Amino acid sequence: MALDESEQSPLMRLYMEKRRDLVRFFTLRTSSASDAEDIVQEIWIRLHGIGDVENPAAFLYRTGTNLMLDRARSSRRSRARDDSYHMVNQVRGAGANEDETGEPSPEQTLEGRQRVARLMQLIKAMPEQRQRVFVMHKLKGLSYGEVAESLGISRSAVEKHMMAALRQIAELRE
Amino acid sequence: MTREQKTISVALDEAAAWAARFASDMVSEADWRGFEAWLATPGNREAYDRVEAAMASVDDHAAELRISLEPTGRVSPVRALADVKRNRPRTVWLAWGGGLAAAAAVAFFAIPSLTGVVSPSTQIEAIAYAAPGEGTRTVKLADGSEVTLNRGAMIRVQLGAAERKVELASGEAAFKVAHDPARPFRLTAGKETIVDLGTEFNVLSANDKLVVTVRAGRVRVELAAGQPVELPAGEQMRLDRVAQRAVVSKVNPDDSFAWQGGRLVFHNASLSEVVERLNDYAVKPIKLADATSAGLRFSGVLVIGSSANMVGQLEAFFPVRSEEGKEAISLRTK
Repeated sequence: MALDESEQSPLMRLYMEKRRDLVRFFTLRTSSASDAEDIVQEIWIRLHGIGDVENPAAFLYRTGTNLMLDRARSSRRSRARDDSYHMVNQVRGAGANEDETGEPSPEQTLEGRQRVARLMQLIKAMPEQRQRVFVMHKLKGLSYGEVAESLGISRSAVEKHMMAALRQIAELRE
Repeated sequence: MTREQKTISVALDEAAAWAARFASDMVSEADWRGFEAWLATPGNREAYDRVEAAMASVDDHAAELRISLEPTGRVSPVRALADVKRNRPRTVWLAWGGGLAAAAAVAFFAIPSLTGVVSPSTQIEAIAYAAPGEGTRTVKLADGSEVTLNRGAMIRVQLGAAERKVELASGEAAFKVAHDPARPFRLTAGKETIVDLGTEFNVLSANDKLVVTVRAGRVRVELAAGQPVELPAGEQMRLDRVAQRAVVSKVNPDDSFAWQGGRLVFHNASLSEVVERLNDYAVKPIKLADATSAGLRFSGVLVIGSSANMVGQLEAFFPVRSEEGKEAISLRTK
């Protein structure tokens, strides 16, 4: 579809300026030049109808990162679906042609439960303030500013607690 | 700890610091630049991926974790605020897990079920896909459906709880729809709506026409005026939007999907029909300069390429020669 050049927002003009930087960044981030191109193209599509944003350059990187994570997630989902489908076919033998439902297999659910249990254990064992920050931000979706205000600490303290919490969680093996 | 383990551990510390930075609501361009420089060091990207995967795992189970950590089930004002924020649909794949924004505004509500509650009133953000410039693009939608966009085509997708809505803004696209009787797949193209009844179909939409071809299954085309038309596999509907006249005919549906392989198939088509079809792809329009050439007929396959390249193919098959003008390429009988 032809885009009306005259209706380009400041954000779109900034995009044009930063396009190469974004492609370079996402090439490094995804280690795939073609994925990077796709992501940067999708950023452009998302910019339509978006007005003023605070810190527009960071917004472009953020949008691309969200797109990248969406892609990773949907490919994880479809992989999980394919796996469960193949498993069903193996069990029922060739010729089974049930629709893929996208429901997790019993194995996946079990794996999921184990992961939740381990995460829960780890969160409960966190130092009190770290746990509070983590739950408020990561599980309840409060911003750093909101967490800082509600706990009466600085934003950078919130960030440090988050860093420690994420560091701990990264140690959990899949 | 070996030296290698120590390096990994340091990389993970730094990765967690970056992840915590980007989770902030105040991130600058300089942060992203710094992150880029950090990523360039071997091993760092892998460390960051690990932190990101850990965060995704938390997100996947956020509802369960939240419930287990707060077993009372009462909704505090902070909780309600948090739920509103969490459930604001960011993207389609998240949206199905959302739908609680309205409910969360009420002081008390049932804890969301682990599989996600979907309310029909949920505002689901549309995702747009486009195939810009040269070439086609295949998009796998979250419901398992697959759409191939022909060059220049653009669609908007809203996968809702009660129905799947797709809008073809313009251009041509082929659909392989994942069967889900509980969620009809409705494709809008201009004023017409194509309702999928479990199927594979191709749609070409332009200002003056709509062409729907069914390869498998069955679709219903709801016209802006007149009775809906049901098309089984192997049938094609051509709607003349200017005359508001629809013609249904039997076709070899594979021909309509051939563009996915970069080819256009014609059976006893007039040169004017061929040119019309090529113009769906040509950047520089192709025109017939005299009436005699319009009636020439052609059966065969043309390869989609640049305007000049496609004109070259026409010159090879038809007794015509081309003249490249400023606005268009004209064809005349030799």
